Amino acid sequence: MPMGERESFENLMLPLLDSLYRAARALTGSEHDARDLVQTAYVKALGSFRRFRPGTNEKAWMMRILRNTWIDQLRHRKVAGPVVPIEEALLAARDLVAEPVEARDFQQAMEQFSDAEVIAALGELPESQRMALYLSDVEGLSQDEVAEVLDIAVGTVKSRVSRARALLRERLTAYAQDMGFVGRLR
Amino acid sequence: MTHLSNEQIEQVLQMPEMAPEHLQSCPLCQGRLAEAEAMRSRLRRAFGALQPDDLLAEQVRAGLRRHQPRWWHRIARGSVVRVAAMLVLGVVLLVAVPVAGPWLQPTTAHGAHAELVQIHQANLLPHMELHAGSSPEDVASYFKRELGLEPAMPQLGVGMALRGCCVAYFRDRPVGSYVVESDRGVISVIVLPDSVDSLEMSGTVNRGGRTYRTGTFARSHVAAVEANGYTYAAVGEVEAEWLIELLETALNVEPA
Repeated sequence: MPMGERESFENLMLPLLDSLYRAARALTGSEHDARDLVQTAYVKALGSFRRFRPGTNEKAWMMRILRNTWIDQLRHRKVAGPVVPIEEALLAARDLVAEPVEARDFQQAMEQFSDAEVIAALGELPESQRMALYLSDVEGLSQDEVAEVLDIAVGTVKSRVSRARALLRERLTAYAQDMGFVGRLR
Repeated sequence: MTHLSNEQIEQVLQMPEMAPEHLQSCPLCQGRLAEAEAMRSRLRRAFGALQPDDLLAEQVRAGLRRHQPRWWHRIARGSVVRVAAMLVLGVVLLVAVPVAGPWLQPTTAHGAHAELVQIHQANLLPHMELHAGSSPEDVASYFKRELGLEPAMPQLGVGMALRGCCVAYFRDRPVGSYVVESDRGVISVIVLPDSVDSLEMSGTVNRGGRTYRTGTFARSHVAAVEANGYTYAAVGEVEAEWLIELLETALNVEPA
C-alpha cells in the first residue's frame, strides 16, 4: 500500500469514525462488538479503497462496508442474529399494547426517556427496519443513499423507514404509558 | 379528504420543499409530520451522546498501519521463509500428481457450480463442524487420512487464516474442502478429483498460462482451476477475479 494512498484514505475516512461507531452501536447493540466492528470495517475499507470513486458519498460507502462486515461477522460467529441487550423495563414494555395518545403527548413523553432508553427501543426493531430508520434519521442519508447502503430499492427504503417509525412509536408509547409519562386518550 | 400516507410523510421529512398542498390545511397530517420530526430529533440527540473514546481512533489507526490490503504484494517483496514455503508446496504438488491422476475422469456436469456453492453455504452453517486444524500441515494430514488426498494447502500469513476443513460430497462422492477467512470474507476452497472442464462453468479467464473457469449461483461466485491432478474451486461472495487471485497466490498454483 503506497503511503500516499493510506494517507488519503485516513484523511477522507477517519473523520467518519464517530458516525461509524454510532452506526455500529445501532447494528450490534453492544459497545464491545461495535468497537470490534468499526476496526474491522476500516481495515476492509482500506483494502477496497482503490475501488472508491471520487464523488461517491464516503459516509454511505463506509456504512455499506460496515454493514457488510457485520453480516460477515454474524456468519463467522455462527449466530442467527445480533444479541441486543435491552433494559428490563423495555423488555417488559414489549408485551404491552400501546393505546392511542395525542401527538403532542407523545412528543412530550419522548423527552422524558433517557438516551439509553431511546437507543434500546430502536434496538428492538428488526435489523432491516432499524438500520433504514437509523441511516435516514440519525445519519441524514438520502433515501437513495440508504438504498445503496442496504442494497435495496428506494421504494423499499420508504416503506421500511415508515414501518420502523410506526413500530418505534408503538414501543415508546407502550413504555411511556407503563411509566405514566402519558395518559390514554379514552 | 385524503390524508398523506406514511410514505408521503417520510418524503416530506426528507424534502420539505416537496410538501403537498394538503399539508397546509390538514392539522392531522401536520401533527403526524411534527411527530416524525420530533422522533428524528430525539434519535439524533440520543445517538449524538454516543462518542467513541480516543483509544478507538488509535486502535483503528494501528490496524490500518498493520494492514496490507494487496496481500500478494508481500510475496512479491519476497522473504526467505515465504520462498521456502512456496518450494515446499511445489514439492507437495509434484507428489500429488501420480496419486490423483486417475481421478480426473469427466463426469456429468449439470449444476456443478450450484453444487459447489451449496458446499460453501453448508460450510457457513452454524451447526457445521469443521476439523479445526491449527496449521495447514494438520489439515493436510486430515485430508490424507480421511480422503487419501494430498492437495496444496493455503499459505497463511498472507491476509488469510485457516478456519478448518471438512469432508463434503460432490456428485455423490466425498471431496475435501477447506475454509479460509480473508479480509474479504469467508471463502471455501473445494478440492475435486474432477477435471475443470467437467464443471461446465461458463466464464473463462486465462491467467499465467492457466485457464480459470468461473460461474455464479445464489449470489456466490466460483472460480476453478486445474492444477497437478486436482481441480481447486474457490467459492465465496466476492467477485470471481478476486477468487482467481486467491487461487493464484494462496495456493501457489504453478503453471502446467
